[in-house]
Amino acid sequence: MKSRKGNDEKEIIQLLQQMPRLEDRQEKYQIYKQSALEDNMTDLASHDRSKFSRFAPVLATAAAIFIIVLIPFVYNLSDSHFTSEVANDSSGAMEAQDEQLTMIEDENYDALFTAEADKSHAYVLHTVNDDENVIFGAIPDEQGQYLIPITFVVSAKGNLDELYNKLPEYMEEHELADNDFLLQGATYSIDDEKKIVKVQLPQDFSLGEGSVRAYQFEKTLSVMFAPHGITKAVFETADGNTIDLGPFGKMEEMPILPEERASYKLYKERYLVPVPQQPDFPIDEAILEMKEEDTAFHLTNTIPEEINFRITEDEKELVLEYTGKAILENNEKYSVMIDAILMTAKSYGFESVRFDNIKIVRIGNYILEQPIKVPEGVNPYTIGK
Amino acid sequence: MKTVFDRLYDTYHQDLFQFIMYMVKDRTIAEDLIQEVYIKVLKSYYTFKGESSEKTWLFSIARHVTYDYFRSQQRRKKRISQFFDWSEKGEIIPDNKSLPEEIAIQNDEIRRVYHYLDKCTKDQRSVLILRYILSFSIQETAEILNFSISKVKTTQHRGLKNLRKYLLEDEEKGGTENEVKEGKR
Repeated sequence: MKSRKGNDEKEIIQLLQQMPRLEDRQEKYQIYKQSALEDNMTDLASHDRSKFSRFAPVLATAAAIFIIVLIPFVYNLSDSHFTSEVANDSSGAMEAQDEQLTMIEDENYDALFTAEADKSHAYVLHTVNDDENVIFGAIPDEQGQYLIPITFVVSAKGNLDELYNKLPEYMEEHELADNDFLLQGATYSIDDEKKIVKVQLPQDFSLGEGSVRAYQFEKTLSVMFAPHGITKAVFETADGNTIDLGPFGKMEEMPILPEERASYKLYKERYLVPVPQQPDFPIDEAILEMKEEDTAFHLTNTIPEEINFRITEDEKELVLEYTGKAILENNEKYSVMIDAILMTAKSYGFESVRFDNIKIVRIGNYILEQPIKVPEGVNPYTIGK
Repeated sequence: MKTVFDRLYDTYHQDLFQFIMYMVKDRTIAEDLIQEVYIKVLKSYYTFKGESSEKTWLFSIARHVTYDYFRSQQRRKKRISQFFDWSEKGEIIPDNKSLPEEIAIQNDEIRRVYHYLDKCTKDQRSVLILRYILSFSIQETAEILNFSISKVKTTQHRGLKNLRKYLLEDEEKGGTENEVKEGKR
């Protein structure tokens, strides 16, 4: 080592400048995912923590009284030496109180975090990781009026056949199996080249006589396979017989219809549901329709009454110029509104949505200064994490 | 949001990590803290008024997160030492942070500088890291730390002096004590 005696600071500076780069080895995507998730969680958690902090002094007093009163009781009041020690050792009591409060706060926070994690539910799926696959399912609403599309993000490699054949498992994992999934017991084999899916149905398969179930059966197939570019479903049974599809009659195959144009609304405050529109129904009308509620079917509006847009199209981009007077805020109501608008735009074939004149930079996880890509799927559930 | 993150990450991530890592000297903690930086950044991005540059804004958040971490550690140590009355023993508990590979393969002088950065105050360390390891200007450093230019200069001078003092002491002792310590890690 060189002698540093008599040398000035320059040598130290040179040494500092030679310090090596300490590289972060974490994956970029992982950091983003975690940060975005925590960001959402802390929004909710901080709200509740602030409520806790208002009660902290009350709890602190209660805890101090509790400790001072209870401990001598437990260790026998006749032991005067011990009693006086506890009573006089205020710093000890305060310390214990501090610890206890920390524990209460931690428990409170943990409980909240867990509860939020359980009920936290994203309405749309924006990104799919390289090591993830996406498959789609659909369940009817309670009254059989609408179909609720579900997106399963499976963190495993595998071909689509395998993943679709595990659909009942995935539905069960998220307690969706109780709903009347219309392809119960079916197995699938996808032919990517011919763009067909062979659907093997159980021998006792029946849709009954009602046209509603037949209509929903057709739509379920469309929701499940149209996003993969499949254009036809071919039906098979184990014994080789044709399938009786109720009002459709006996059918060997059925075309897979492309996604219908729809206005997305909120079903039971839990799922975004497409309310189908006619093929010639214009997009501005479809957006306007999102302001309408349908309480009889548990559908709530996704665009609040006070919000108005002027709608134009720029090739594959839908442009919504805000014309309302209300000031938009960064809250869940408006975040769901954007989710629903993006899904509605997607059903009309738009690839992105741009918000102009909205006077707020961010709502939820959306930065509104730039066009937002339409989501990959709606009502996502993650499998295998 | 992803676009904002992508841009910030691509432009500043390695420097941010560098700053935090040289401050806390623990990869796991640095990973947690940088996560916290992004959470704060994504949360407040829309309120960023552009009064400072994006770069100095980001680094000032990183600096706050790191200082908060040190404060929480101090509170924790204090609580433990009061509770168990280990205050004296606590001071001689050896520093058992493992040496990052990138440092471990460097020559003895670099390793000593890395080691003795801990002897500087938080402010001195921040200034030395920003100024010399990350090559930030005095103006940028002042904005990040919310210091005046002259305070940056003074802190920088004291930090260098401090570092030099410990390196000299170490040299006078023949450097053996420190080499043994490093070797044990």
